[in-house]
Order: sequence, then structure tokens, then C-alpha cells
Amino acid sequence: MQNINGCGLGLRSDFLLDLKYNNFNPDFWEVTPENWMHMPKIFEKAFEETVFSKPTIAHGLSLSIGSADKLNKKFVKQIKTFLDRYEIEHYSEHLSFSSLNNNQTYELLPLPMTKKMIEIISDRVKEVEDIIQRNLILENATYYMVPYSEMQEVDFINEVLEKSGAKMLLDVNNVFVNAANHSFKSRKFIDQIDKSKVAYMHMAGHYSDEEFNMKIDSHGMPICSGVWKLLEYTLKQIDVPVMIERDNNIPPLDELALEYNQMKEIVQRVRNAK
Amino acid sequence: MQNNNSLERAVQERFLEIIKNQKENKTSNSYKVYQKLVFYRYEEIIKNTFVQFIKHISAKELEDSIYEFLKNPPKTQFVWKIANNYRKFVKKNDIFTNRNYLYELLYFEWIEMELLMKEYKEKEESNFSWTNSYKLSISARIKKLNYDIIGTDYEELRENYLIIYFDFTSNEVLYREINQFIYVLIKSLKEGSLEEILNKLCIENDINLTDAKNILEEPLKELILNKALI
Repeated sequence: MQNINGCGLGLRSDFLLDLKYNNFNPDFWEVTPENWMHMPKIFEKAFEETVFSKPTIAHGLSLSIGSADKLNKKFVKQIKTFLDRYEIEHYSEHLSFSSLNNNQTYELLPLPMTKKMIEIISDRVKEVEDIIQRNLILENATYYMVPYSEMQEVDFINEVLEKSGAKMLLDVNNVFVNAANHSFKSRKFIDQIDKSKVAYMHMAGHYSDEEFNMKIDSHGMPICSGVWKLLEYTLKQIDVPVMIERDNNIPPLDELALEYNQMKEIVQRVRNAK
Repeated sequence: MQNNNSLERAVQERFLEIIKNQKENKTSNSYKVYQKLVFYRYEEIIKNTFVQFIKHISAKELEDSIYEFLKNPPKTQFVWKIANNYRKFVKKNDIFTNRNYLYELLYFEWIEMELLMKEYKEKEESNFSWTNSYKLSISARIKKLNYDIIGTDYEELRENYLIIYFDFTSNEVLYREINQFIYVLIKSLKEGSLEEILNKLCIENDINLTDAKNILEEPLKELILNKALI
């Protein structure tokens, strides 16, 4: 990825204003356009200074690339305006759907894993790329059920990437959570993913829900040892930028910095061992 | 397009229906996870936006109203705007029967959020002059309320008038109670210069123009200084 190297962090309003009082300085930032297209005035200056001070990736929530609807071009144009305004070159989204018939759920819903779905997504990826004039990067999402399937997730993703030409945002925590919830081997999934397509990686926390007997991708907990180990395993095969997403129960910046440094040490250790 | 992806569309529509009508459906555990996730997403925004409102309804009322709201999902891609859709939905459907003050409270809290999230171009404040024409800024709203929303007893019927505006110095949304005369004056701003409008209102209400000017000059100057009138 042009300009994006090393380790990053998702920028959140919870600590934006604390940044100038803190020495924490990640290699790159990731921002969610939908959360920054409108913002309280008190954040405007700090946001601009932060995204212009470091390479930044935009990571969207509401594109709904897998929706069986027509693409909402008006929204995609708003995304382009945001990317241009803050000179952001890279835009990633989730391989899922979140809306249908323009009804929004604000949640990442699982796709039917079919050949036709791959075609639909590929067409929509091209439409999006035509508008934003940038390549789209797609993330493997968590899913708690598969509503309909003709194939395995890893084959579905590889084929989407192949047909659409999109790059991949490999979310290591999502692989871990999905593997646990659907009884497959996370390392095998990593082995099988098309590594040439991976642009960058996500790390995050999850929790185990006793009521549903499932792991839930909450982005609200520290990253667990299993996910750190899976990252180390993945980095041995895929040397790309990696970053932490924290969206809930956001701790003080110093605490986030500790987790960031832990990630940085792992990346360095794996690189040095090569 | 619909004909070519009928299976995919059907699967997604079924999924959406289960989420929208979550209270009525006996669904599998996996669907329930999604139902909860979507519910919590809505609930979080509503609770964070309507901090006062939720103190005046029970937890069950909030939950039930969100279940109903979920049947009519918002069209906006922006999560923070869910709150406005919820506000409009509960009012339109009279979810809180016989408690009209709740709708006014929802309006008040929503406007606070809306004015906070708006992007404003930097503008110098206008100079005050009776011969100038002004308009209500996009950073301000005026509203006639029937309940004492800014007082301590929201349920008390008391006709009152507010100007709510974004304060560029403190970066906060402020409000102040105005009298009915200023309210009508601000509503009529498009009709001419301040003096022309005031003169017309004075004639209609049998008020001496000079007296009115003396009383109104300072409050109007302050609203202009605060860029509520531009």
C-alpha cells in the first residue's frame, strides 16, 4: 500500500483531543468516514491535524457492498468527497451487507455465499471504484450464521477478490472468531487465503457470549492471546501493515499504546526472524 | 437486476424481516445474535442522544418503542441520525400517548445534537443596525413549546418560546427563552429590515416603536453577536 507502513490505530473521538498531550504516535491512522463526515466543531481542527500528520486509511461501515440492491451512488459520492478532502488514498469496507431496499441496520450482516453473489459484488466493486477513483479493499467480516451457501468462506472470499480485483483487509480477529464459532481451523484459513491480495490487517478484541455460546466480535476488549498468536502465524506468511481497531470500552490512550506496542514488537520479531 | 439475483435478494429480504420483526419471531440462536446486535446499536444512539427523555420513560417503554421503530428502519447511512428518525417515528405513531411533553423533549434534545454536528463556515458576526436585514442562521433554531421543557417540570403546560443556537466561543449548543414578540420578529426576518418588520409588528400590536426599539436592541445585538442572526 502506497504510503502505509508499519502499525496503525483506528482514530476515535474518545481520545482525539488527548493526542496533543500524549507522545503516542502510530505509523498510520484509520478513520471511519461515516463517523467523521459530520463532527462537532470542537473536533474539526484536531481531526484535520491528525489525518494530515500521518498516512491515513478510510474504513467504511455503510457501503453495504453485498446488498442485492442498486448501489447508492449518492452515498458513494459523499465518500469520495470525504476521501478527497482529507487526501486519503485508501478506502476499505466489509464483505457483508448492512442495508436492503435502503433500510439500514448499521450491522454487518452475512452474505449468501453463492456464485451469483460474487458476480453482484464484483459489479458493485467496479461501480464504487469508478466513482471514488480508488481501489476498494474488502474485509472478511465476522458472521454468526451463514444464511445460504454454495461454498466455503475462504473460497468465496478468494473468488470475490479474483473477480472484483479488490484487495483484501484481513481481519485476524474475525478469522479467529469465525473459526471458533463455525468449527474450522483458523490457521488453515490463513494458509488458504490469497496472500497476494492482502493489503493490510486488522486486530481487535472479542468476548465469549454465554447465552449464545459464541464469540462476539465486539472491538470492546483487549486482544486475547489466541489472536496475538494467530497474528504472529499470519505475519510469517503475509508482511503487510497491521493495526488495532477499538470501538467500545475505549481505554485511556496510554493503555491503547501498550497494546499497540505489543503489536509492534510482534511485527518486528517476525520480520527479524525472516 | 432483481430478476437476476432473486435467490440472493430473497435470502437478504428474509434476514432483514427477521431483524425488523424481532419481537414476534421465534428464531434460531444465530438470528437472535443479529437481532440483539441491531437492537443494541439503535438503543445506544437513542440513549446517548436523548439523555433527559429516557429518564422520563420506563426501560420497558424504551425497549418496546425501539422494537416498533425497528420495523421502520431509517434510510440514513449515518448512525447519529437514527435519533431523529426515532423522534419522528414515536411522534407520528403517538407511542407515548397523553405525554406530549415527551415529543417536545425529544425535539429539544435532537436539535441540540443536530446543531452540534453541523459544519459551519467561519463567518464574522454582522454589525447591528436597525436598517439592516437579517436572517436566522443555520446555527440556530426558534421553537414554540407548549411544555416547560427548559424548566424543572417538563409535564407542566406553559407556552414558551426558545432560541437554540450553536455558540462559536464555547463550541456548545445554548438556548435562551425569548418572548413571543421577539419570536414573531425573528420569524418575520425575511420580510425586510429590522426596523420595517418591527414597525409593522408595533402597529399590529399597538406598541410604541421607540419603546420597542429600546427594549429589543440589547437582546437582538446579543443574538447577532452570537451569530444566531446573520
